Amino acid sequence: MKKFIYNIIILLFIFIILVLIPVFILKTTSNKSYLKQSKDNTILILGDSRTEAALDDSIVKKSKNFSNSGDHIFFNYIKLKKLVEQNEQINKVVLSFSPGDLDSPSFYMVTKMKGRFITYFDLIDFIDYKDIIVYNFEGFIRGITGISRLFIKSYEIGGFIKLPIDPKYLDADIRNKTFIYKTHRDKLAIKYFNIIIDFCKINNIELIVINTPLHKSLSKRQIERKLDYKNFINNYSDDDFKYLDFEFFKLDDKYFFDTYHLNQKGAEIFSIYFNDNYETLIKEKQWKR
Amino acid sequence: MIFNTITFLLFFIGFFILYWMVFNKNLKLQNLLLLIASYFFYAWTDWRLLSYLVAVSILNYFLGIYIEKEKDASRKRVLLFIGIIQGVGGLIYFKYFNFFIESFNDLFHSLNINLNVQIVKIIVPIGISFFTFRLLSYLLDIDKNKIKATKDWVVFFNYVSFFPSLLSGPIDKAKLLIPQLEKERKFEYNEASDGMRQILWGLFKKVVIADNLAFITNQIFDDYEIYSGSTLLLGAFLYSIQIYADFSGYTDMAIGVARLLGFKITKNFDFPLFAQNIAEFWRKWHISLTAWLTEYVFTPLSIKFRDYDKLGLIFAIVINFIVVGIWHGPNWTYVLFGFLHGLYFIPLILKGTMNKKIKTDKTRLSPTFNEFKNIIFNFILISLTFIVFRAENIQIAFKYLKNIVFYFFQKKIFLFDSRVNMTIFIIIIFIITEWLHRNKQYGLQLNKDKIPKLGRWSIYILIIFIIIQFDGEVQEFIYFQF
Repeated sequence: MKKFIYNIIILLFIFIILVLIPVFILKTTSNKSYLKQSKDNTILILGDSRTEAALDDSIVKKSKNFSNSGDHIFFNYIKLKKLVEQNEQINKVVLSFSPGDLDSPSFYMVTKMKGRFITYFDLIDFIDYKDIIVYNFEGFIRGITGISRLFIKSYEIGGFIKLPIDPKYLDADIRNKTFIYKTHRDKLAIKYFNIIIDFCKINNIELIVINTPLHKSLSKRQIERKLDYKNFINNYSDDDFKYLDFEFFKLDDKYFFDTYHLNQKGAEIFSIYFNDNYETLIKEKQWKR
Repeated sequence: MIFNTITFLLFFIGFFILYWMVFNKNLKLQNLLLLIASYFFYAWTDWRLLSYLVAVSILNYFLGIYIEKEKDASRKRVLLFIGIIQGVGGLIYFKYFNFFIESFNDLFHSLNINLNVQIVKIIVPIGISFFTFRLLSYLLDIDKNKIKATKDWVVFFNYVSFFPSLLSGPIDKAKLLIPQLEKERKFEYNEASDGMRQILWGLFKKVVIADNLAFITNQIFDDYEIYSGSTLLLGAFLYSIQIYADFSGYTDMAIGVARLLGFKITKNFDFPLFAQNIAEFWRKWHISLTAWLTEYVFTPLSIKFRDYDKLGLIFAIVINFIVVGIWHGPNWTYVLFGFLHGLYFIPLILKGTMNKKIKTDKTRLSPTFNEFKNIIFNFILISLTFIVFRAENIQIAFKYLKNIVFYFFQKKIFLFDSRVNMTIFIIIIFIITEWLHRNKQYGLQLNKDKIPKLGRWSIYILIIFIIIQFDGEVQEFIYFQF
C-alpha cells in the first residue's frame, strides 16, 4: 500500500508541475498589448452572443465590440476591468444584460468554464479566482490544466460576428413551444452586475445596459422570466445605468438567425438604428417604459 | 456521478482511504461502507432514483431466498415469474412505456384515427438496463441451481449496486461478484497499479478519443443533408470508433476502479475493432451483454427451434439481436440496428462457421492481407449499422444512407482544420497501440519485462499530458442513456 501511495504522490507531483510551468510562463510573459485600442474607440460593447451578433462596431461609431458567446457577467467584468486599465479613453460601456443573464447557468457548466478560463486566463487577477473556485471548482481545475493550449492559440476575447442568413435555425426555434419559466436568480451574476455598476461609477464611465431584439415567438415563451427581469432592472436608478430595452424592436423574421440572435442583415439594421438613436433614447428615458 | 470528473476523484480518494485504511479489518463494515458509497454515487445525479434501486433490491433479495427454499416446482415458478415480471415490467414502464404510446399514436394516425394518447413524464433510473439484467440472471441462476441465494443482505445489495459497474456495466453475473463480496479482500500492489493504468487508458479513450470525435461526428450527423456522401461515410467510420472509445473507455475505468478495491469484474471488450467477422465482433463487443443474452435468450430459443436446423438458428439469432437492439432503448432505430446485426449472421450460419473461432497470431506486428481485408470489411459493415444506431429516427437513417450512395462526390466536404487533423493523428496512434496490445486485457497493459520503469513512467506522463491538452468538450457517456 505504501509503495502504491508513494507512486501516486510522485505522479500527482509531476502532474502539478506540468500544470504550473505553463501557468508561470504565461503569467510572467504577458504584456496584454492585444487589449490596446485606438484612441478613437471610446465605447466598449460587452455581453454575450446577443450583442456579439447584434452590434456591428464598424457601424456604431467610436465603438469596439468585445462581446463573446456564452460569457457570464463575471467574465464581462474581468474583461471590462483590464480593457479600461489599458484604454483610459473609454467613457461609455454598452453592456448586454437580458433575462437569460439573470438566471444564467453558464458559469456553473464545467464545459463552459473550461473554455472561458483558458480564454480569459491572462485577464484574471488572483483575487478573482476565489469566486471561480467556490462556484465551479471542477471547471477551474479543468481550465487551469488546459491553459498550455495558449502557447499555440492567440487570445480571442470577443468581437462582432456576422451570423449567416439561413432560415433553418429560426424555423427550428419557432417550432419549440416550451415555456421558459423563471428559475433561481443567479447570485453571482447579480453580484458582478453590481460590481460593474460600481466600477463604472468610480471610473466615470457611462454604463448603458441593453436588451437586444428578440423574436416575437420567444417573447411569448418567456413572459414570466421577463417580468422577474423587469422587477430586477427597476430596482436600479438612472444614476446606476441607462437602460434601453429593444426586445420588441420591429424586425421581420428574415432578419433573425434564431429567436435570440439577429443575422448579419438584422445586425446591420439594428446597429444603424442604435448608432443614430441611442443618445436620444437615453435622453427620453426610454428605460422607464 | 461520472468517473471523469473531479467530483468522482474527490469522492473516490475519501472512500479509498476509508475502505483500505479504516474498514479493512472488518469485512461486514467494509461491505457496508461499499454499499453506502454505491448509493451515494448513484444518488448524486438524482436522489429520487435511489428509491427504485433499493426497492428492487429488497424484493429480489427475498425472492432469491424463497425461490431457493421452495420445494414445490409450481410455487417456485410463480416466485420466479414475479421476479421476471418486476424486472421486465420495470424496464418496460421506465424505458418503453412512452415509446409504445407514441408508436400506437403513429400507427393509428397512419390509419387516419387520432388516438392522441398523452405520453407520461417518467424519470428513468440511470443504469436500469444494467442492474435489471443482473437481478434477472441472479433469480434465473438460483432457479436452475447454478448458484445459492445469498442470505447476507449487504452482500446482495452490493451486488446489485456495485458502483464501478452500476451505471454502464459490465453486467456481472452473481457467481462472479457475490463470492468476491463474501470473501476478505487484500490490497495487492500489482492489481492496484495495473488498475490505475487501466483507468488512465479508459480516461484517454473517453476524453481524448471519444469526446474529440464527438465534435466531428456531431457536426456531420446533425448537418448530414449538406455533406457529401464521402463525408457521411467518414462520419460513420468515426462514429464507430467514437462509440467504441466511449463505451470501452468507461468500462476500462470501471474495471480499473473495481481492481483498486480488490475486485475482478467481467471483461467487456476485447478489441472489437479488429474483429474479422460479425460473430467475432459480438464475442469482443459488450461481452457481458452478449454472454447474458446468449445464455438466457439465444440458447433457449435455438433449442426451441432446433428441429428447423439452420432456419431455426437464423430465427434464434435474429430474435436475439432484435432483443439486443431493444435493450438499447425505445427507438425503432435500435430495433433495426439489432435486426441488421442478426441478418449479418446469416452467411456464417449457412456456411456453418458461426461458432468457429478465427485463429490469429496475436504476436504478429502487422496483420496478414487476409486478416486486414476481413477487418476492414467487417468494420465497414458495422459502421453502416452504427448510422442507424446514431440516427434520431429511421427516416433520417435511410436519408443518411441514401446520401452516401447518391451524393458521394457532391455537396460539401468536411473541412479538416488543425483540431480535426490532430484528432485523426491521435486516433491512428490509438489504433496502433490497441493493435499491438490486442493479446492483453486492455490497450495499455505494458510489459514490465520489456519496458523499464523510466520508459513506463514516461508513457504515463505523456498520456496524462495528452489528456490535459487534447481533451474534448465534456460529453456524457453514450451508454448512460441505456
